[in-house]
Amino acid sequence: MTLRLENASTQRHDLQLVRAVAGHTLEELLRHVGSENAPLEPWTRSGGGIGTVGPGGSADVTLDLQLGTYWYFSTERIGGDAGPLQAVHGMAGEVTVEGTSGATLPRAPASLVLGEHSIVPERLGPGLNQVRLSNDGAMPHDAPFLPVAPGATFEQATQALASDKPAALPPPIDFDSVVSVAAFDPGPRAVVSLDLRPGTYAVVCLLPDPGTTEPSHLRKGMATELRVG
Amino acid sequence: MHRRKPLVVGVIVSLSLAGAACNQDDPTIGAGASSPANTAPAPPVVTVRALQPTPGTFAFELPGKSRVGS
Repeated sequence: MTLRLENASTQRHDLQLVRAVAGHTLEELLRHVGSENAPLEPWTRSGGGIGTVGPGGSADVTLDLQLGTYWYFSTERIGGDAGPLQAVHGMAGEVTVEGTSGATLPRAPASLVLGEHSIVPERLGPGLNQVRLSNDGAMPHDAPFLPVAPGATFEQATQALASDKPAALPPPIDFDSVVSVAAFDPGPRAVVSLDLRPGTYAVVCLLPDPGTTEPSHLRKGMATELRVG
Repeated sequence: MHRRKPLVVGVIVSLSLAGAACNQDDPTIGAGASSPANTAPAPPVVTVRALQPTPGTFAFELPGKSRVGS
């Protein structure tokens, strides 16, 4: 299935899918997602999704979804990082996927392979990339593409992300131009569209191990420098 | 600025995609030039629109379904 997100709002939105699990609820999931300190529950099965899309924009992902029921929601917050989840203000629901088409994932010239704890991008260039994404690890990972600010270095960017202290000003990352990738569990494959600008990106995983409040995988070395163009 | 309100989650929808899932058994996905993928149907496209009905509320609109959200 190709899932396309068209943003007709004035805010940034993403669309994350999580497999619905018997005995748990969407409300329960959102409480954990919305809390800074709650661990990512081990029962969470990320089904992939679409990274953040700005106002007026669109993006798509082709997913190799299994049949079943999924929860979908936006992980973006209202009014910045400290605000409430958009999901608790209407951007969440439940959907059931039925039927099979026999379709296959489209070919993609670029690839992004995630694992513990590595990120391997290949053949990505400036402009719109069709990227075959696979998580070959044993736990869920995400992979936002964080543009390194002009004059800053990849090392400065990752050190700022890994630090508990506020970043120096100006920040070494251009947070307004982040190209995000939804969280994916191991196994399902996908083709995602990523629109990249020339420059240097820090591609990192900001998820911790499931069931823990340990530091993100970034601190375990899950970061790579990508030079585009 | 934005008062936290009780969880408001979308209504349950059943999205019969009539072929939503890809072929789970096809080992040729992403493989070389001459593969059965050449003759496989294109994946169905499902468009979801992100809406902002009022300044403080948001919603996802799914095809063929009423708006989901507050």
